[in-house]
Amino acid sequence: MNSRYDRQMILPEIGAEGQRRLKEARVLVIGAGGLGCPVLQYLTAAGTGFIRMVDADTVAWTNLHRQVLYGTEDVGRPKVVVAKEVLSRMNGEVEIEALQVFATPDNVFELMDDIDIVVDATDNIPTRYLVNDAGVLSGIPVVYGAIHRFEGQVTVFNYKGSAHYRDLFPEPPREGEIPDCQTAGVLGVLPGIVGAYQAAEVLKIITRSGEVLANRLLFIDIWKQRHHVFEYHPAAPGHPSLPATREALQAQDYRQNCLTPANGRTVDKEAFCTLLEEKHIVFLDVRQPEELPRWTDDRVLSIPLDRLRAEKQLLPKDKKIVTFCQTGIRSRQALPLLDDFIPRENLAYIPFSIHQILAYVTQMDRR
Amino acid sequence: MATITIHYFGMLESLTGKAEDRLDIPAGWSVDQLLEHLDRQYSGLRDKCFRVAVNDAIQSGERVIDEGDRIALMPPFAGG
Repeated sequence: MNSRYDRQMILPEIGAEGQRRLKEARVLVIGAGGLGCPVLQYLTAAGTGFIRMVDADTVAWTNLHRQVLYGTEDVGRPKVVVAKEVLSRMNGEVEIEALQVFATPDNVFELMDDIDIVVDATDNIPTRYLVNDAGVLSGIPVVYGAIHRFEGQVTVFNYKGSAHYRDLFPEPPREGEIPDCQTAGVLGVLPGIVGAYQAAEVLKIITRSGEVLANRLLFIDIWKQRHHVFEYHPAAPGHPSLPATREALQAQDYRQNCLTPANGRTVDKEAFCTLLEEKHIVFLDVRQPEELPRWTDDRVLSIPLDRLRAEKQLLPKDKKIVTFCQTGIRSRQALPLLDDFIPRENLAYIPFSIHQILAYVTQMDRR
Repeated sequence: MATITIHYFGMLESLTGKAEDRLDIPAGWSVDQLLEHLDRQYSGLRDKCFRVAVNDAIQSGERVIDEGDRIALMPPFAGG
């Protein structure tokens, strides 16, 4: 062996053993854009044994200021083809598989087949939920990175049973609520930093060394120099919205279900107090039966979120349906499950907690 | 009363027009009560997707806020 890896192998934390593990490692990088470029470069330079990269895009002029694997000549060429050329020149010892596809529910398990670690270097929320869910169901850790203007987030999901994306963000944002780089703009160096952090997490996981950023979200702001590490944990009752099986995942429409429709139908306090006067209404409790406190009212119907798809026929079609839950998260997740069954104008959710609901009910009763 | 600091990240900084805020709130308020208050000040805040951290740990809406707590409102980011 030549001296290519000497400077990292003399680190006792890596050593010959760590380098051997690197050589045997198989990493999937989803997205070869702003985050994917530095991830791919550093994993290649470090001597990762096998890298599968996935991206269906071609190089655009607007990519060049931040996607540093690509140059002027490459505009219009498939990203993974160019990336493979550049990376192979960097380090011919790394086996690189370039797939010009996007990750979808249909191919995601195949992409993760025989893979040790997944890097989420994607650029949109639905794909992030997809990659997370497939990683969890495949038992593979997911190294997450995401950026917004001058700010970045890094964390590791599903590492030895750690929390995952749905623990961190159980409810999806609305369509268009969270802008991408195209809309919000991005300083080119930011994905470089965030991607390098992701690569560092991959190296730690592979070499079984250092403190992996699991159950902790690193936040950086390179403009205002705000740096934080936020702790988070697996949600206690699990996730009704996490597909239970591979088949269930493949049946999901991620574009549809991982964004809440932009014209969201929220019930605020005032609207809720008005609704309390209505007779032709069902307040749909989507919690599990054991969750307390219960709201006793003739108009309350209970169908837990995980049974809602199967049991929605129990709902009257001619009444307004307003969903609620313990905290205001699942009530929102319930809407897409009912959209094809209840007319949109008759469907809304309560974004606040059961405790607040009961407090408002008591207030109204006193009047 | 309890004096707290609130940090806004991502889109929420654009919505509120500030990165950081100091606020006096009644003792014993929960995170949910604080959000309801903030929603009156910054219309539409409550409808946004974000998590709340109290002193660098993500918490639920029932968490009671204490004097000197550092609150952070963290949305997901999409970009890559």
